[in-house]
Amino acid sequence: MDGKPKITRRGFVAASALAGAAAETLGAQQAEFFSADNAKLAAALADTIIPPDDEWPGGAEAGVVSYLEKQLRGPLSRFAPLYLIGLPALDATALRLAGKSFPDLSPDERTALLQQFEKGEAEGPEWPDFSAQTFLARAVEHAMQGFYGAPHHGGNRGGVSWRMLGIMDVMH
Amino acid sequence: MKLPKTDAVIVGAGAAGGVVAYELAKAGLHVVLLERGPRLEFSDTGHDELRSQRTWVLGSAFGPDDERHIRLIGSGDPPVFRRTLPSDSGYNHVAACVGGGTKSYGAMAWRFLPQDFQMRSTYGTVEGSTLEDWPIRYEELEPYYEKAEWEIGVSGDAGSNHFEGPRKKGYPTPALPFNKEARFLADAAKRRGLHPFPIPMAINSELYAERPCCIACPHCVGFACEVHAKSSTADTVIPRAEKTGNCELRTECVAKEVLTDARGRATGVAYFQGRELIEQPADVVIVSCSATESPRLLLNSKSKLFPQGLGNRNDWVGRNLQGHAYSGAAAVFDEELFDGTGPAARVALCDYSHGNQGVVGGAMLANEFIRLPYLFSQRGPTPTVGRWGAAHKEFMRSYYKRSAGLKGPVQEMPVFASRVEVDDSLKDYWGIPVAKISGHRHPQDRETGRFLAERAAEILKEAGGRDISLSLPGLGVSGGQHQAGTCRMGDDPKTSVTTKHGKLHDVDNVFVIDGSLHVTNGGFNPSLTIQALAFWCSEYLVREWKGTRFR
Repeated sequence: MDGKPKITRRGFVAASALAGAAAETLGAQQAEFFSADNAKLAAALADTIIPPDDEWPGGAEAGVVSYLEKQLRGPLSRFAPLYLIGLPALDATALRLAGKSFPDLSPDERTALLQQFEKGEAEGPEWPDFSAQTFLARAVEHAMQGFYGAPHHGGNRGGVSWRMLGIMDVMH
Repeated sequence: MKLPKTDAVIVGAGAAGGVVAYELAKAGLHVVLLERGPRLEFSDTGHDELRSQRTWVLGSAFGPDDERHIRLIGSGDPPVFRRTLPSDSGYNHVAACVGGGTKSYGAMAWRFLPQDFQMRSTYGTVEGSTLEDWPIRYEELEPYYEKAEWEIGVSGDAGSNHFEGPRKKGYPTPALPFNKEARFLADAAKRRGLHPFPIPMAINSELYAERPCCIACPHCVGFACEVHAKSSTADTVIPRAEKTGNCELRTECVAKEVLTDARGRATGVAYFQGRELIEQPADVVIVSCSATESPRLLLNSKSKLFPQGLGNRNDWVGRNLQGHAYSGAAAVFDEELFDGTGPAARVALCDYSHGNQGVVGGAMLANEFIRLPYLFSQRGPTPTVGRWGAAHKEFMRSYYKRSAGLKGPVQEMPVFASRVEVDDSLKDYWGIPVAKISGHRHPQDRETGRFLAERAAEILKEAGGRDISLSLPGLGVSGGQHQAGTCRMGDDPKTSVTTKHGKLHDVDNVFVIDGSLHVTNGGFNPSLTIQALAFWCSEYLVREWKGTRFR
C-alpha cells in the first residue's frame, strides 16, 4: 500500500470488470477474493465496526471477512467494486487524515476516523465514484450481516453472536 | 403449444388463488392453477434470516429471484425510475411460490372492522384521495370471514376484541397463549384503560384439519413453518383442491397475457414454462397475482378491442396502489421480556383503529414478531447508540432481550397517482414488459401514523419502557407485502375496475380475485380479508357457472 491510488471513472469501470472476472475465474480456482492488503484492511474495518472486547470476539475473528469473501462472489457481487475501490481509498484517507495506514491506527484512532466518515467529514480525492460516507454505510450493513447472520453464509463463526445474545437454543 | 381447453384457469396460487381453486374444483369445475414459483419444502428455505421474507439481503428463498424479475421503481415528482431487483429495497416484493405470501407470513388473521368498509361514509371526502366505501359491507362479508377462519384454520378468542363487528361463530381453535412480553404489555395497556386481546392467528393452537399444533418456535414471520402448523394455502386449500381430482397445479409458469377473441371475451391465458410459450384455453380466467402483478398482467393483455389493456377502459387498472403506513414505538426495559417463544406477536388492541381525534382512520397496535438478530442490529438500537462500534455491540448484548415495541399497519388514504404501469422499453427474462411503480403516500397517513406512534409510546412508558423512539412512515410510494387496491371493486364502471364480485366491468369472463380489489386496505394485515373475498367471489362465480353464463 503506497497510498494515493488514483480512482477515476475509468478506474471504477475497470474495477467492476475486474470484480466480474474475479467472480468467474477466482471462484473456479477457489482463490481469495481479497488481496492480502485488502484482506488486512477488511479485517481492521470489521474490528472497528464490531470491536472485540474481553468476552466476545470482534468482527474479524467472528468471520466478517470470510462472509464478504463468499458473498461478494455471490448474491452481493454488485458490491464488489465498492470494496475493491473502497478499501484502498479507506487506507489512503487514513494516511491523509491520521498520518498512518488504516490497520496501523489504534482502535480509538480507527473509530475516530470512521466517525469522520459517518459525518461526511472524510470526503476527498480518494472518493471520486462514491462517497466515503456511502462506503461506510454499506460496510456496516455487510459487517452486521456477517456477524449476526447464519454461520453457513461464512460469518458468525460457531454462532458466536447468537451465543453473545443468548439465543443459540432458538436459532437452529 | 396450445393445450386442450379447461373450465377455469387461475393465475397465482397465493392467498386468494388457492381459495378460488378449492372452491371451483369442489364445485366440479376443471381448474388449472398457474404459479410463477415452485412448491417449496421446509428444507428449501429453513430458518435463514438473510434469505427470509424479512431481510432478503442475500435474495429471498421464497422468490422471486433477482435474475429474472426486474422492475422499474420511481421516486420523486416527476418520478425518476431506476431498475430494481427483488432483493433491492422498494421493489414491492411478494413471495413467488405455492402459497404465495401465506407460506412465509406471520399469519395474523384479522377481520376488518365494519367502518373499514365504509371509510367515505365514516370520514367524508379527503382532499387528494380517492377514498371511497366498499361496494359490500362487513355484514355481507361476515359469513365468508367465518368460512375463511374455518377452512384455513385460525386460532383466536372470539369476543375478546371489544371493537370487532358482530360474528356468528367462534374460532376453530382457541387463542395461542400469551408469551412473557404480551402479558407485560397487556397489563400496561389495561392500566391505561385500553382493551388488549390475543391476536387471531392462522396457526393451529391444537391439532386441526389433520395438521399439528404450533411448537412455539420463534420463526413465524419470514419463514415457512417446519411442522405445517401455519395455515398457508399451500398446506390447506391447495392440497384439498388437488385432492378433488379437478385441479391441476402447474408450478414455475409465468403468465404473459390474458387472451381475448374478436367479441371481447377471454379465451384463455398465454404463459411461459421455461422458455416455452404455452396457451391454456379456458372458459373463465381468474387473475390472482396480488396488487402489482395482477394489474401488470391486465395491462399487458392488449388487443384491438382493449388497446389500453384488459379492463382498463377508464384508466383505473393499476391505480390506488396501497399498503400500510406502519407506525409505532420501541423502548428498552430493565426486565428481560424475551422468552424465545413464538409466535412472538401475541397481543393487540383496536382502541385506536377508528374515532381518533383529528385524524382519519388508524390502526390496530400489536407487539412485534421475534427480533431477528441482523434486522435488530439495523433497527433496534436507539439513535444515541449509533449504528456501529463498541456502544452498538454493547447495546445488542444488553438489550436484545430487554426491548419491545408496539406498532400498527396504519390505514392509508388511497391516492390515484400511486400506480402500477407497464413499460414496453424494459422487458423481463421472458420478454414481458416489466411493472413500473410510482406515486406517493397521502400526507394524512403521516399524521395518522404520528398519532398511533404517540399512543404506542404511552403504553410502552406505562410498561416501564425508556429510551422510547417513534417510527413514522415515509411519504414515498407504498405497497410492500400488504399491497392492495390496484383493481378496485365498485358499482360504477367509471370509477372501478371490477364488480363487487371481482368480475371485470369490461369483460364477462375475467375475474380479478386478490388484494387488488380492496377499495381501502383496513388498519390490519390483509390476508384473511383477501381470503374472505376469495370465498365471496368464488361463490358468485360458481353460481354463474351453473347458470352456464360462461360457456
